[in-house]
Formats: sequence, C-alpha cells, structure tokens
Amino acid sequence: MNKETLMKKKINELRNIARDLSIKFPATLKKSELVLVILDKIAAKEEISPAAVIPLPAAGPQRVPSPGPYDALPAGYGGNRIRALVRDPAWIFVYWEMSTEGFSEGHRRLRDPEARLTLRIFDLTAMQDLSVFFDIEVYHQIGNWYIDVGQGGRTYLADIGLKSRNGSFATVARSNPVTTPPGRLSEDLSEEWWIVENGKTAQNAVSEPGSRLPQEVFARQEHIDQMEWVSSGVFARLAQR
Amino acid sequence: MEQGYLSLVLHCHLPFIRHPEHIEFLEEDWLFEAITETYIPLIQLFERLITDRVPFRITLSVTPTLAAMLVDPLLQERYLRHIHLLIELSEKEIRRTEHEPAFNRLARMYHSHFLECRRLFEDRYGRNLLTAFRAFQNEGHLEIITCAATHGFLPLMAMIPAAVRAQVQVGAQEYARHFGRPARGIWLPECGYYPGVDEFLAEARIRYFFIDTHGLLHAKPRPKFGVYAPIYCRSRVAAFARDIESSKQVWSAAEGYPGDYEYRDFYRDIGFDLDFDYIKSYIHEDGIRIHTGMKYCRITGKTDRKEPYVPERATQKAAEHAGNFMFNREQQIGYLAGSIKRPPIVVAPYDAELFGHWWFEGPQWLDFLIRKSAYDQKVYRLVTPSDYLQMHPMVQVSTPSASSWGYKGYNEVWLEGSNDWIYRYLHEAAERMIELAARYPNATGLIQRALNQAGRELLLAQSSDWAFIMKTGTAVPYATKRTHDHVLRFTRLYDEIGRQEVNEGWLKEIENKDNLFPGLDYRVWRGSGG
Repeated sequence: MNKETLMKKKINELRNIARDLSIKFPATLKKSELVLVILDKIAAKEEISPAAVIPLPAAGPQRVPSPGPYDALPAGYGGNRIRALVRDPAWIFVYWEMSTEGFSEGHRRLRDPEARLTLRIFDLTAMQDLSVFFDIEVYHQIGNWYIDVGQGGRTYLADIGLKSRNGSFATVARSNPVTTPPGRLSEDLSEEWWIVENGKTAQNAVSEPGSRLPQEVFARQEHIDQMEWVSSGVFARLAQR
Repeated sequence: MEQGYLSLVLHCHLPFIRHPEHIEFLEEDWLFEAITETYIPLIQLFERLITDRVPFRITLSVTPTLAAMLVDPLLQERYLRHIHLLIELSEKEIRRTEHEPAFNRLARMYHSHFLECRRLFEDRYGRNLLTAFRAFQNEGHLEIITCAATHGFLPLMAMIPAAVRAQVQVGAQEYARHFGRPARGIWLPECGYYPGVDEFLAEARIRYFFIDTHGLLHAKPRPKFGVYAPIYCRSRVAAFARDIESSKQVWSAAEGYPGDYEYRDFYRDIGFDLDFDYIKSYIHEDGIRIHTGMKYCRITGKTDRKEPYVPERATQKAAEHAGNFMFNREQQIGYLAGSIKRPPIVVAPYDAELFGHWWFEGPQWLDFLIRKSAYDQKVYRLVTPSDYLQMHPMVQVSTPSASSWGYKGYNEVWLEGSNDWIYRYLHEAAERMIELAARYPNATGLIQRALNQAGRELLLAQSSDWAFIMKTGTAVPYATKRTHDHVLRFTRLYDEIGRQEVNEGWLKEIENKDNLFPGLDYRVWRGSGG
C-alpha cells in the first residue's frame, strides 16, 4: 500500500484499514491525515530504519554514443538516473531510468530475487536527513510518477531502487532535491530594506515610511484559484479553429 | 504631483520558426500575421504618439527568438511575399464587394493597411523592424527588455544550473547585440520563477524581472506593500509583480474588454468563409484553409449570427474602454496611495500579440489610454521599472515564491500528461552539452562549429512553446516534431563530436536551418568559471 493507492480510497475504507492496523484516531481526522497515519504505521510495521538504506553507488550514468540513424528518440540512455521536478505546492514529478545492470546489482545487494522496483521519497524539511520517507512501488525500469506530497514549502529527495520482502531498500539512483512553493502567505513580517547601486548594497534600513498593505487586500488577491490565467502563446492558442 | 504609477509591459514573443527547406510553411505565418496585425500597428502607434509629442513610457520585451526572425533575410523576403499576396487579395476583395458597401469599406480598410505595412516594412525600416523599436528606446519612450534565449521555461531546468545560466546569458548577449546596450530588465519566460534563478540574472547584470501576483504575495518575509512595490531578491535583482485587477480587464474572456460585441470578430475570416476556388491562392498551398487577416464581422453576440463590422463604433468602444481602464486605475491608485501612504506602482503585463492580432482594436485602446493618461488625469504617471527604481531606490528585501503566470500559477501547464515526456530528453541533452563544453575548452574549426550548433539545437529544444502547444492541443504534431528534431540533431552532433568525425555537409545544412544566435559561443555552458 502506498500513498497513491490510499488516496484513491474512500474515507470509510481508510478508517477500516486504520482499524485493521489497530490505529487509534479521532473521528474528525481528515482523509489526507488519515493516509499519513496509516503510512506511518505500515512503515513502522515493516521496521524500516534508515540503517537499512544501502548507500548509493558512486557511478553516474554511462554515456554511450548512439549509433544513429537519428530518426527516433531512444526510450532511455542506458544508465541509472532519477530526476525530480516541482509541479506545484502539492505535487512533485519524478522520472527515472534503471539499467538492467542497476536492476541486477540491486537484487544482488539485497540478496532477494523478488525485491520490487520502488520509489522512496524522503522529506528533508524537518530533519535534513533521510529519516522521514514513504515508498511507492513502481513497475517500469524507465518510467515517471506524479507524487502527491500534500502541503507546500517542503523539500524532497527521491531514490529509485529495489525493496526486498523484509523491507530493506537498495538505492540505485538518487534525485536532485526539490523544494515546493509554500502556496500561502509568509508569517514572517520582518523588514529589511536596501538601496542597490551597481549591483551592490549602497545603503540599508530596518524600516521604510509607509503603512503595511491592509490584510483584506492581501486576502482578496490570495484567491489565486479565481485568477485569470494567461501564459504566453497567443498564436499557439489561436492556431486552429 | 501624481499619487502613484502605472507600468504597462508588453511581452513580444514568438518561437523560432523558419523552414528554408519548404517553399511555404504554415507556422511561419505566425510571424507574418504578428508583423501585420501587432508589431506594425504598435510601431504606428508609437510613431503617432511621438509625432504628437505625447509623453509615454512603456516596457516592451522582445525575445531573442523573435529578434532573430525579425532580422533574418529569408523571413524578411517571405514577409514581403506574404504582404504582396494580401495586397492582391484585398484588391480582389474591393472588386468582389463592389455592391456591398458594408463590406467594401472594410476591404478598402484592409487594403490601405496592407499597403502601409509594405511601405513601412520595406521603405521606412529597410525590412528590419527591430530598428524601429531600437529608435523608440533611444528616444526615451520605450524600455526594451530581454528574455531567456529561446523562452525556455526555467523552473523545469532548475536542477541543471548551467542550462539555466546559458539561457539567461545568451538572452543578455543577444539583447546587447541587437540594441547596442546592456539589458536592464528581463521577462522570465511565462513569468517562471524559482528562488535562485535571480542569481543568474545578477550575474548577467540584469536589474529587474517580473513575477506573477502570488510569487510576490507568498514571498518570505511577507512584502509590506504587497504587489504595489517591488522587492529585492538577496541577489540584488528587483522583482515587480503583476496586478490582478488591471490584468483581468484586458485578459479575461468573460469580463474583459476584447469580448465587446462591437469589436471585430477574430474567427470569421475570408480564408475560411469564401469559395475555395476564389481563395485558394491565398491560403496554404496544400489547400488548408487559414486566417488571411481579412475579417468583416463584429462579434455581434453569443451566436453564430454575425453582423458587419463598423470601425467607427469599435473605435468609440475602444475610447470608452480606455476611459474605463483609466478611471479604474485612478480609483485603485488613489485608494492604495492613501492606504499605504506612499506611491504604489501597478504593473500590467500583457502578451503583445493580444493587441491587434486577437483584439483588433487593442492598439487603438492603447493609443487612447496613453493619451488620456497623459492629459486627462493627474493620479498616476506611466513609468518603467527602471524609472521607478530611480525614484524609489529603497526597496524591501524578500525572496519570492516559485510561480508562473500559467494556469494554476505554477508549472503544470508545461508539466502534465501531454508534455512531461520531453524532460528526460531535454535534461540529458543539457548535461551532455555541459560535458562537451568541459571536454573541449578551446575547440577550433569544424569541432567548434559543431559545438556551437549543438548549443543552438539544445536551446531550440528548450523553448517553452513546444510544451505549451502540446498542452493546448493545437499544432501538436508540429511541436512534437520540433522537440524530436532538435534533440536528435543535438544527439548526432554529440556523437560526431565524440568520435571527432563531424559530417561537414550535414552540419552546414542544419547551420543553415537553425541559424539563430550567430555569435553563440558553446563555452557559455562551462558555467561561471568559463
């Protein structure tokens, strides 16, 4: 069970799953919160500890010249690679490629021929280490996945690797870190002011005359879901009837 | 003394579309239509204002791909062919509509505009419209800003900093080459910002950029004056944010001005409406019907029943709408000035191609707005971001939130089911380019040419336009083909350079096809140490 499959379930189904796992929870718990609680419980059950994460192999992707004839894009480039991209505050996107060698090497390290292809998403926001994570089982050596990460303003890292039946995880490739936008007003109301000349701060100040913009103006503009979205490309949009 | 400022920003952009291998090419028409319907009407507008000595300050971005097309001799030649055909078609239309006065006068209106386009393009500006914009800037009316080299959407290449850096550096270099001075501002493609991209702007000595509303509202610390004052990133580059209220009146399909029933209808075009045999010489050679630009109806209402367009009534509307816009800005700026107790700046950015091409009366509206702003009110003044920073140099320091001006405000337009497959290839190509630049610090001759061309192919593949087109669902095969073509050309160059066996004949062929950025130096991918 991963986050993706849990999120697809109805709240009542989730409550049943939680009860099956003997989790105690208040009836007011929201769906997304319930999913997190369940995931935590599953993770605890599987007794995955950071120590079980096998270190990353040093080798980068092998760059082999393609022979041509250059009439189609390759499915992949023949290395081990994963990259993470931000879509919005709540979603990140990863794509990966695991070579056959990477796949066999992972199995060998885990000593488990039935180890499954797995994405491990680390949340670095609070701990800055690899202690907070969740797993998503995936099915293709070359693939991609949109991951619902809930609230914004957090930093993630993704590993593609193999996970054995006993919960050990062998990393085959690790992504770049990504930080999602906050999606909300900052609570930080501190002030710092600069005068910049020729790319250097010529003067600074801790305040500047003027009154803070009224909260209701902020609030009105904050409804970005009601915004008139634009984006460049008038011609592309009007190209056909 | 005014109470605040209005900053109008027009973003002029088209992707690089140039196909010497075809005698005519459907998507090349985008440039020709934009020249006839937007760029020349804007030039005419600025000329009128200058002749009448109306003071104005407008910010205008010209993207490096658009600039490259405007100075390209082949496309200039093809534009002339295009405008000559339109002149011929409009002559035929004048004869055809002889007994229909409501249409006949419109045919004459288009005919005289097309003649004027030809005169202005060929005689007055020697086929190079950039010279017009450059002159308006040198005379102090426009502030022209640059853009990333090929309008690459930077947030989705953020994990490869040298790729982002190259987009920004080449954008700044091209600007200096075309406009003879360093770029002070940049339009980040699609307003796509992420914390850190400003470092590359600072390195290129760019002083300001634009972000969408929530990019600034969600900045940390929270900006004291909201979007009504810029902020400085820690890199010392200023960010100005889009104002929603002024945007909505122009952009909104539902409540915006361009939907007024008196305005000219975009969709009813004689390229679609007239007999095939009559129109076939003026549409695509394969018989695909296209917009000719000759449109005789007004929007009329919500149904398909359309009435003839009446220019005087539309002009009257444009004047009313300009008055309304001015009134709203006076109210808004007056209120804000009282509320924050300092002069607010309202930033109103628009795709330039909206004006004239989509909203036929847009340039007239701008004309009225600029004149009324100069003479009929005293609440605000038109300024550019540089003007503002000069008058109000003390700026709050804050870090904007990642954001864009696309649907839902972040990266989803360019990262969704229809287009997410491209990033695997774009990122690999970018990494390979960096690898090449590191491996060949001082290439010469054929290898150097191949490396520079590899850079052009990479940049072209990175244009945000292809992902956008895949998402909007129009012209998808073309956008897909462009992505494939540039990545494959890049890959072949990469392989041939690796084997030291560059096929010169083929290199020459693609140098001729993808001929933008003649001064490009592949070492820009070596990073800041290079």
